[in-house]
Amino acid sequence: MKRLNIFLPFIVCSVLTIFLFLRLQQTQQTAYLYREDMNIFLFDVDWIVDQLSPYCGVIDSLGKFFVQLFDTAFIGALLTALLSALGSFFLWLVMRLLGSKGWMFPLAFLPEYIECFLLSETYRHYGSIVAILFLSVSLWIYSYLLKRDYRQRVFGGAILTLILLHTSGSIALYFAISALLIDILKNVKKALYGVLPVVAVLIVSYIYVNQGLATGYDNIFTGKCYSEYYVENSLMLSVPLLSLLFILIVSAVAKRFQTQETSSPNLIMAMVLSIILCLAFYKITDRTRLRDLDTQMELFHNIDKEQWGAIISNPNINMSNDILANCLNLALSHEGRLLDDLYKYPQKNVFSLMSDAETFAEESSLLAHIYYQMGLVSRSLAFSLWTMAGTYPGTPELLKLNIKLRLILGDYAVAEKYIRFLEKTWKYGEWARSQRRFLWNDQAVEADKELGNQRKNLPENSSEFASLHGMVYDLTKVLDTNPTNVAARDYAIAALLLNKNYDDIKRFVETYYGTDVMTDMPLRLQEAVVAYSEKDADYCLSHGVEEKTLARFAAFREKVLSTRHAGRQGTNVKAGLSEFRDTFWFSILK
Amino acid sequence: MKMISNIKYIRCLLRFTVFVALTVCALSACGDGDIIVSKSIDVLPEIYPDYKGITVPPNIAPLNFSMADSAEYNLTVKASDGEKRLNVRSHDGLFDIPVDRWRKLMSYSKGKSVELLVSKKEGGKWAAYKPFTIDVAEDSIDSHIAYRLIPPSEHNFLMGIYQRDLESYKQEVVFENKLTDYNCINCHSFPQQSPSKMMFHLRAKQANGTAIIDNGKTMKVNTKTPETISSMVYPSWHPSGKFIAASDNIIFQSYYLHSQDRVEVYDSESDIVVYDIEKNKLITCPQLFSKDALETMPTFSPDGKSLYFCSAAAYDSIQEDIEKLKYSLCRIDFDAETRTFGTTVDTIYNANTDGRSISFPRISPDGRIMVVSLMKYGNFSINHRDADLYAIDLTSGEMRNIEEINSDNVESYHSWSSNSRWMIFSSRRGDGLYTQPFITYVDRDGRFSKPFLLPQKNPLKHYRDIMFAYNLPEFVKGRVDVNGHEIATVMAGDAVNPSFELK
Repeated sequence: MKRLNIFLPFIVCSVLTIFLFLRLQQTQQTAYLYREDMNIFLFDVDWIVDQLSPYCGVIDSLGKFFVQLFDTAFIGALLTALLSALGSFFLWLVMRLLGSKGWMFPLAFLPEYIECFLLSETYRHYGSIVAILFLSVSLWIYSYLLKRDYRQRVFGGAILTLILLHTSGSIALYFAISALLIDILKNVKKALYGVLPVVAVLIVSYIYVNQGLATGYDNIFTGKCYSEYYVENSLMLSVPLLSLLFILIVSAVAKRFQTQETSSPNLIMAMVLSIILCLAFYKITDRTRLRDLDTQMELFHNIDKEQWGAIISNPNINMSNDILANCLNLALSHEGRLLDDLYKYPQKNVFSLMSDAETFAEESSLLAHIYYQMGLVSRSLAFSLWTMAGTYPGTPELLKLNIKLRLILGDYAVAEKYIRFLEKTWKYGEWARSQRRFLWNDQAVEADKELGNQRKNLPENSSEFASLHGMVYDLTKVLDTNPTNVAARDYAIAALLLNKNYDDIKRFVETYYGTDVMTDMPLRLQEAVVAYSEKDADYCLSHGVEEKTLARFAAFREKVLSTRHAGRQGTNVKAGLSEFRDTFWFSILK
Repeated sequence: MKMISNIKYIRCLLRFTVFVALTVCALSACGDGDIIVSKSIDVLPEIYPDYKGITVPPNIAPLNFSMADSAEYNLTVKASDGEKRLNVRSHDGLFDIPVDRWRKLMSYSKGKSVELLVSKKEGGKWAAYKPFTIDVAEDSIDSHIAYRLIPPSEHNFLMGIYQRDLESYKQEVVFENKLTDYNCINCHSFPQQSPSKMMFHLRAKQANGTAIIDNGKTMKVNTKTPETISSMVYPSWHPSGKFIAASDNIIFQSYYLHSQDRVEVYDSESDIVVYDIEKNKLITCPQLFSKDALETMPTFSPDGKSLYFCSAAAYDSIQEDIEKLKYSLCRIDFDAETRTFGTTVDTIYNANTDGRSISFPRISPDGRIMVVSLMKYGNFSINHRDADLYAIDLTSGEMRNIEEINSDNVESYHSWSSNSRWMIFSSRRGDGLYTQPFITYVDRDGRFSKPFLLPQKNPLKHYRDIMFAYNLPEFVKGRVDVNGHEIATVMAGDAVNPSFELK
């Protein structure tokens, strides 16, 4: 039993770490991949020094350093679980000093578990988990000062506090308070001198805020320090830090009730605490209600990695969410199935192709990708620049897109700047180096399948603005320049079909049918032609409508009429026409 | 006895320390000492930035520069009479010139020139490139510049106003938008290059308004009144420091379908107002506040008696026909005593006759030269690859292309030093997108010297790596001493609401 007590913390630590790892992998896999997608870490001495220097810079930089390793959700979950375990272990060493026994070990995991829960939101900086680790390690270091003279203890505590303040942000205050608490709970001589590090952190915080080094007191005293600026401050953001203070007090209080060193209740208590912790974590990390948000992160990751098949086969795409619908349609376009499969999904309207939401960097990044697929280079450039500004200095994929755009436009000096930047990353450096062959080499750009085709999309130089007359107009400009751009053609047709404006559809058909843009008429457009000229079979046939389309329309019409005669209206009519669900005609049924 | 032993020990230690120090000095002297050149390379060295044949102020920071490769190089900078010189050795292609020795040499060479000789070690022997010279002007430059650093996009997330000590490489924050939730910070301006007064505008949710800072005290003014179409945008201080002229603009930004200029920034409406700081009143006149014209980018003359501005005829189809948007340069009298405007408007430059469009008129403090940006159309010259700087001799009215400073890329925003001898301007000659600041010397005959890029500790790395554009560089006579936190606090509070008067 004695041996069990010795090994109990290690056993509990292992169990809780494994549980954490499994649960994180299950619930935060999209968050890890998304974090990596949005993260830049450069292996450049000047850049690293710049990142480390400002207030909270060390924590932010370490967070970025770790996130770059999140190649898979497995790595993300494993690293997070290990950092948590390490932090918990150091905290437990401090708890032990206060009198905790092995069965209390699960409590050491409390701050880390809460922090891991907060990390399920991507607005929480990954550095926060490192901050908790730093806090635990600092308290452990401080515990060695307890035996020293009070002057050394206070001086050492103050130094640690100030180092933590600059490097790691708001954990400094909690460290100073915890250190004071430990002094009091351990009843060390002149314990109240421990208030001096707290005073030191308050004074330096005042200076930091007044000098503009920290943006405000909430950013220096609360857990908001580890969240994006736009997040409203709340108590929840500070709970991991507050829970640590609570644990220290509990450790000291619990000591009074512990009588036996070796007893089987220890194991039972440890098990009970662990189960409570795990169940609570399991419950609060349930993200079913946030499925759209998780799906969005997953789809954005798929777009960045050009995993079009994965997007199409994703069962969680809610087509009433424009952003998700945009992702799906982008994937369909990349697979050449935009028109064929357009009505396979419940398209809402033209915003299903391209949302008008552009508030967040993620949304403008999506628009940059969609415009790029369409071949509207200037619009793609506009949105990618916006995203770069919003995610300064940009995400790796955005930088890649920017490099391609600048190569297409012949802006080689700018392309080289971004290439040089991306070359300093661990993961994207090789790709960036491979792009050097295009610099100041128009022939190479034009010979490249992707870049060459995109360059063909560039209209003549003019002072005409993009987006002034709408997306379809811009796409026709691309088609006039590059009639072989199928993606532009399909997006234009899809937009026309979803807009359901017969005059615009007719104009498009009459302009482009029989030209290089449309030597054959896409089936969906044939259906539209039949719809606006159903009584003129000659017009239909001379504008690319096939006999079988006309025959299918006749069958559709007959079925509609028979259904209506049977007395059904509205959705009931549609219910009886499920075999025509994939047609334009079905979409215009009222 | 023990005491004597300790003294001996200390003496011994001191001797050893002196010996080590002397040895290090001797070795370092060898490292940077004269070299023996055994052959010559008959070309000028390729250096970045190109500092060959430029004119610099005597108080400028060392002009560190890089060679194309990282071989072993030696740089000898010597005064024209050969009396003073300094040597710098480089093992990585960068010449990092010692500040103190550079300052002494510059001070000695005032009004003269220095010769720079670059030598390369090849096969253990030194080969010297052709030497080049740098002229050192008698005239000093204002000690600081202030500029915005912004990502080159219409949507700005991270930006700030910074100041740079021109006598060193020190950059400091004046105001960063992280203090006000990453909003847009608009044009900043100083009266007569004075560091004690400045203004800029914040476009923020809470902290929206114009900040006017006088000796460290910030005042928040809501310059958007019911009568004006927007807050103050492009400002210019009156020399008295009591008025700020500014345009109110409804600004659009559109990307071209395809054009070498990529993006256009333009106004659909604009007017000019003058903010009377003492009376807290916006004043204007029909000539500056017309619906039929787009009046913008005002600038006061150094005597404060004239207000220059750009003006174009307003028309409905600006977006469809942007090339028609051409700005002329106009002038109207301003009387600071009576706070009144003249009744007639002089056209200094007529866009309808010349066919080009004008922006950013800026007059040298001595009142002799006005420098403007000229381009095919529009007024946001930073996005126009054809934009060049032109000088207007205000005595003769003659305008000329300042070819000696223009490039085949954008030249735009410019600002004069307080002694009228230096001008700093923005150019995209580097990579076509990330704007860089160049400085040029203007002699007493109005000739501009070959411009030089703002010196940096490691200019090659700095300008290659920076992901921000230098925007609106303005000379300032000293360090701007403001408190960002205080500005943010004031700007988050209530604003002063000025009254409006159309005279």
